[in-house]
Amino acid sequence: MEVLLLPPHSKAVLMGNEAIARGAIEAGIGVATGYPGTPSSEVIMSLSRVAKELGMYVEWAVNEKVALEIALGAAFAGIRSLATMKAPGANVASDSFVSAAYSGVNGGMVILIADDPGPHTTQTEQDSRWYADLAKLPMLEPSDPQEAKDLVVKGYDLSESLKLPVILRTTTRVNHTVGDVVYGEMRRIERKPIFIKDVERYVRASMVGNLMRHKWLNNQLAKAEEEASKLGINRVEGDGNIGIITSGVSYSYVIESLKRIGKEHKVRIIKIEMSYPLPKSFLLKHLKDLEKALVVEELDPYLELKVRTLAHEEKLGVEIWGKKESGIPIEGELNPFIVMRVIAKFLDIGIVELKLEEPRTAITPRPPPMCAGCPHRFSYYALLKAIKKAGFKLEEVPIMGDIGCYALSYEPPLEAIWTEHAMGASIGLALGLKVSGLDKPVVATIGDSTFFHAGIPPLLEAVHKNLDVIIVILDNEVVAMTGHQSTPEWSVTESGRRTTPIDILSLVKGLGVRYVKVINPYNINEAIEVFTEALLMKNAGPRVIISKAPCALMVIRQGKILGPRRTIDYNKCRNCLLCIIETGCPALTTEEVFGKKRPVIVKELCVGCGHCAYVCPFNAIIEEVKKSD
Amino acid sequence: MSKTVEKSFNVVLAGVGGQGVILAATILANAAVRAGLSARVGQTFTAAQRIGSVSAHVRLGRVIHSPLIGVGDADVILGLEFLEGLRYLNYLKRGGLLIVNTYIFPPRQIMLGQSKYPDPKEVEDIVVKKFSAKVIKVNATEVAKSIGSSLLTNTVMLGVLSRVSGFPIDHRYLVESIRERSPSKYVELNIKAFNTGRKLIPQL
Repeated sequence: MEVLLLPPHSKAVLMGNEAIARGAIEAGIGVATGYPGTPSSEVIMSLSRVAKELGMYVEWAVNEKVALEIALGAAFAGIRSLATMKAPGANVASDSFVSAAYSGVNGGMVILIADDPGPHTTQTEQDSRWYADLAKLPMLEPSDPQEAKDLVVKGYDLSESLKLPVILRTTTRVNHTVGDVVYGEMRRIERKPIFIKDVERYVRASMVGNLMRHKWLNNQLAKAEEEASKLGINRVEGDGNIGIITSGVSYSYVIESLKRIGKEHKVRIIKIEMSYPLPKSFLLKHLKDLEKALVVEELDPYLELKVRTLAHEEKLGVEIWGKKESGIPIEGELNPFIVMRVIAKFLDIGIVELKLEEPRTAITPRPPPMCAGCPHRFSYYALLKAIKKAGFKLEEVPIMGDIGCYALSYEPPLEAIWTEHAMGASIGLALGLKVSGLDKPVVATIGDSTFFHAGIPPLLEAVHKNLDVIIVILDNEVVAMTGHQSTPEWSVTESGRRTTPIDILSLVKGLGVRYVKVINPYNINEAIEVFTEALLMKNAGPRVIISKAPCALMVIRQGKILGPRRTIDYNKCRNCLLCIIETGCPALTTEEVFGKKRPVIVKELCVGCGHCAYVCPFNAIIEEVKKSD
Repeated sequence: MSKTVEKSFNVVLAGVGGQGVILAATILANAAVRAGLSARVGQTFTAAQRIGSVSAHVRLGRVIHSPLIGVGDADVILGLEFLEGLRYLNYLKRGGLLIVNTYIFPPRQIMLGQSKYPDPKEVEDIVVKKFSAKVIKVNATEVAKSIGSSLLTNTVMLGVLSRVSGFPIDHRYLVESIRERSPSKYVELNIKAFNTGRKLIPQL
C-alpha cells in the first residue's frame, strides 16, 4: 500500500518532504511542478508516485521560473497547484512570483521554498523569508513533518481566502527530518478550469491597473492575520512573564531546552507560523504583559526586527533579546546545544550547572568524492591533460564550473574548476573573462540539466557576439546530484508521461554554434585530442564539446557495470599509488603488507571503468579473471 | 508492548555513504511508531551519493520535538565504520555507549599518508576515561558478509543496538519494520542479519 494514500487518522513515518506531498494530496491539488534542488526534491518525487492514480499533473519543469509559471497558470484557472524549489531556485523564479502577488490566484497556490541553514548542500545561506516581504506574499513556516503537512493544507485555504499564492518556507531540518505524521481527510476537489479575461488584473502593462492592484494586494494582506487565525495558524504555549518568540525548527529546540532546564510551561512560547504578514494583534496580545522576550530564529534577525518595530510602535515595556543580546549566530544552523546555552543565559541559569561542554572531536574529514566510474572524472581528467598538451599551464586556463555533481572536481586530485556560482553561470562568467581581454582560452563546464535550465541564453549570447570560449556540456542524461530526476532528454518521465526528448546536439547546432563535437569521456585519448584541438583554435567563436555518457550510478542501478572489474597484479605493482593519486577513485584503498603501503581495489565498489588501469605506468592493473567452474 | 520511556532514547548513527545509515535510521523510527512511540530522524548527508560521511540522529520516546540530539545527549553512538563512529563522540552522554563496527575504510587523506587513522586502543582509553562510557566492538561487516553481503552491516548493527539496556523498542517491532522498509529481495537476509546481530552481544 502506498504510504501517501493511507486513510485519514493513519499514523505514518514520513520525511518532511513526503509530509508536504501528503498535505498537497489532502488539499486536493491538481498540478505540482518544480525543479530538483536539495532539500526540496522529495516533494515532487513523492507526488510522482501517486500522480497517475490521483489524476494529478506532477512533472519536473526545465527551471524554477517555468515551474512557478505553470503552477500559477493552473491557479489562474482555479486549479490548486504547488511549485517547489530550493532557495537559489526562488531567485530564478522571483521575477514571476513578484508579479504573481498583483495578479493573485483563483485556485489555491503554494510555493515551497526550502532554505538550507548550515549550509549542507547550497551555495549560500540566503534567508528566503525576505522574499515574502519583497513579493508581498503570505508566508508559513512549519517546524516538523506533522506541521509541514498541516500547514500545506491550511496554506491552500489561506491562499484561496486571500486570493494570493502562499509561500511555505522550510529549512533542511524540516524537509529532511523523518517523524510520525497523523493523516487528515483527503479532499476531492472537482473543478473545471476556467480562465476569465480581466485585463486590469492580469496585464501588467497598465500602470493605472498596477497601482490599483498594489492597493488591492495591501488590502488582502491586511486581512491575512484574521484569516490565518480562523485556520488556527500561530499559537502560544506555557505562561509566565518571560517569553520566547520563535518559528520553524527553532521551536523544537526551544521546547526541548526548556524541558531539560526544568522550565517547561513556565515560559510563554509565542510560536509564529505565519511570519509574513506579521500577526500583529496576536503578538501584541501575548507580548504586552511580558517583562522580557527572547527571539530564537536561524539566520537573519527577521522576526526580531519586526518584533522590535512593533514593540517600539506600540510603546511596549517588554525588553527584547535578539541576536546581539543572546549571541545566537547569524550564520549556520541552530541546534539544541546552542539554543539551550542561549536560553540558560536568558533565564540567568548557570551554564556550568547544566554541564554543557563545547564540541571537541577532530577526526579526519571524509569529503564526498565523485563516485567510482563517474564520467565527469574522465571529462575533467582529459581536459586537464589537454590544457598541458596544448602548451598551456594549468594556472593560465580558467575552467569555470557550474551547479551539479561535477562541481566536486574542485577537490583533489583533479582540482579542476575555478568557479561555481549559480545555475548556468559558468558560460556567462567565461564570456565576461573573454570580453575583459583575457588572451588565454577560457573553458566553461556545465551539466546537461544545468544547461537546459539556464545555459541556453548565455550560449546564445556567445554565438551572437562571436565570443571565443570553449563550452563543455557534461551530458550524463540525468539530474544526478539531487537523486536522478528526469531531464528534457528523457522520452518518459517519472510519472509515466510520454514526452518529446530534446537532443542537445541539435539544440546547440540550432543555436548557431559552428564547432560542435560529441565525445565519449571514457575514451580518454580521443577526449584529450578533441579538447586540445578546441583549445588551440583562435578567434573561432564558441566551441561546444558534448561529453556524453550516462551517470555511472544510473548504469549500476540498472544492474550493469561499465566494463570488466579490475584487479591488481602485485608482481608488477611498485606501490607508487599513482592509481589513487591521479584518479581519486573511491573504489581504491590501501593496505599495509610487510610495513609497505600498497593499493587495493575494493571489489564491491569497482564498476570497471578502467581509469586506474589507464594511469598505471606498470600495466599492473588488469581485468579480473572470472572464476570458471 | 513497548517499554515505558519518559525521556527520549537518542542514537547517533554514523557511517560511510552506501552503508545504509539512513535506511537503518528509518527502520528505527518506523519501528518506534509501530510500538506506539514518537520518533524523529535528523539526517545529515552531503552532496555525493556514495562514500562521504553520513550520519543520522535518531530520537525515540513519548514526545519528541527536536530532530537533532544535543551535544552530550546521545545514549548510544552506533558507528557502522570505526572512524565514523568516533566522529561524533562529543554527542555521547557521560556513561553512554559506543558501539562500533571494527570495519575500517580509511578516508583519502589517510590513504595517502597525509593524516593518521586513530589507534583503536587509544580511542578506547579516551572513551572510557573521558566519557565514562562503555565501548562495544563488533565485527558486523564480517558477520554480514558471512550471511550474504556486506550490505547487511546496518541490520546486524541494529540487532546489536536492540540488546542495549533502556532501548525502548521490542525487537519484534524492529523485525516488522525491517520487513516493511527493506528492498524486497533483501527482506529475509536483513531479518537474519538482525537476529544474528542480537546474538553478538549479551543483553546489556
